[in-house]
Amino acid sequence: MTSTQWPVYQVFERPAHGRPMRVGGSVHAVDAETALQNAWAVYGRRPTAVGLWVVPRRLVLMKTKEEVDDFTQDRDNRAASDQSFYVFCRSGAKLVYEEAPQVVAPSPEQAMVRAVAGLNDCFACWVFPAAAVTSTESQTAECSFAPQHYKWFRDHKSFPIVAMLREIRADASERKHA
Amino acid sequence: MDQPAKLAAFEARIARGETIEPGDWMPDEYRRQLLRMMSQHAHSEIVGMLPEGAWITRAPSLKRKLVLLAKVQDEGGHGQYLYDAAESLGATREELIEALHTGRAKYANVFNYPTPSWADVGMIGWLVDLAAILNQSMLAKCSYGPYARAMLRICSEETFHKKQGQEIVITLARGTREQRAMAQDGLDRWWWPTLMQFGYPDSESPHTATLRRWGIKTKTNDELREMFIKEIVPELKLLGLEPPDPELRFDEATGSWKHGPIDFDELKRVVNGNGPCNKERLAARIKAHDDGAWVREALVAYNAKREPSEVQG
Repeated sequence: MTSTQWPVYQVFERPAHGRPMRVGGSVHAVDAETALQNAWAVYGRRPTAVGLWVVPRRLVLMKTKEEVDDFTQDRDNRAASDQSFYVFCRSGAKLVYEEAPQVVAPSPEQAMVRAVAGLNDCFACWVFPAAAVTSTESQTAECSFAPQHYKWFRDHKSFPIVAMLREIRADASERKHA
Repeated sequence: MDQPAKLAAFEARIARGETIEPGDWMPDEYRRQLLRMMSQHAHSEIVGMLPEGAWITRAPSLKRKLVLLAKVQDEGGHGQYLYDAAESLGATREELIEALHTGRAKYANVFNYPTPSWADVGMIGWLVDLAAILNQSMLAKCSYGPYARAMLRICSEETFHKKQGQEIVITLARGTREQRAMAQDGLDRWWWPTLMQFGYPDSESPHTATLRRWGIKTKTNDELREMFIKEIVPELKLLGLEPPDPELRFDEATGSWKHGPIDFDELKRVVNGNGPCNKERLAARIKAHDDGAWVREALVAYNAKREPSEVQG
């Protein structure tokens, strides 16, 4: 049997305008374009995101504090030219990885070292080249997320169970007193 | 560091309330238990689409149909979150799907029961999803980062599911005599399978002590089952619905509900593939996968034509 497993794309989401990106999860896809579509279907169903990025996982360097502590710059390539890296960090008591300041470095390994040096309280860190991102955050982003916001059945107020139960309780006590 | 020192350091991290990430050292048994739990959980979400999916075409109104469609779509999404978490420990998507399709993988007992009436959609939403929320709120605080993150996302969506189910049941309970009878009939059939969903009693759960020490579970099956009964029984009774358990009573002395014996042999049969609908569910899942083959082939063909190197990953 031939392998049917497609590459993994890491999914990042922006929870609201002006907020930092955070790690969402991942999808499998043949290419970045379909990865972004799958990411939208899986991570953008409820109105919890206003923008999504996908990045091929093979380009994301992931290290935990344990690993960073004995991390050596084994692929220190001085010939490579500098490029920008996005940095996502799990810090303090936070459970989710959030966007941290970008770093410029000639390799992912050096980017990792520079990123971690500049962060306090970093439990785990991801870095990847800024050029690896495919994003919904273009002029089309608004129209792709807008439909989620007018779906009334995605709104808790559409299921007024507390008010319904209160009514039933009131009716019951009225009958008792009558 | 040698193994005992590593284990001590690992347990100290858990005791401090730290969260473990995929690259960290972890005992093989921790990895094995998490993989077992996350893959069973993922499969449950995927199979969970089927009993309710059958009602999409028969929902009693357009509003109910839209709500149910969104719910079933959420379950599919939850399966994806959990497959992602399971993959963080080295399982491949192919292996996971193959284990489900060949019947090797286990999944939640409840999805192997039939849904002959609309009240069943309400009961699944209210009972089964409330049971899931209690379990998942606990797991959202578990020591393994990817699992906890998946649970956080799932819990916030699952509250919709519980509310829509409860709203269906309340509407039926306030309706005609036939509608009230439908609600009671649904409760009669879903009550015991939902109690079984919490798993075997603590006295028969060999993993509980280890799972607790490693911060994977912070409550036992029996504790969660009791939380469920305590929350749901007063609301059911308010609606004039009675759980089908003559021994169910509130014990003033302990402030808790006492229930009759649960048929754990039935749980064993259903989880091991011999419930009322296991074969039907698996066949439907395999058919859905096979019916989607042309989409996967088309995507690969399109991608190969455009940019052959991208497929390599």
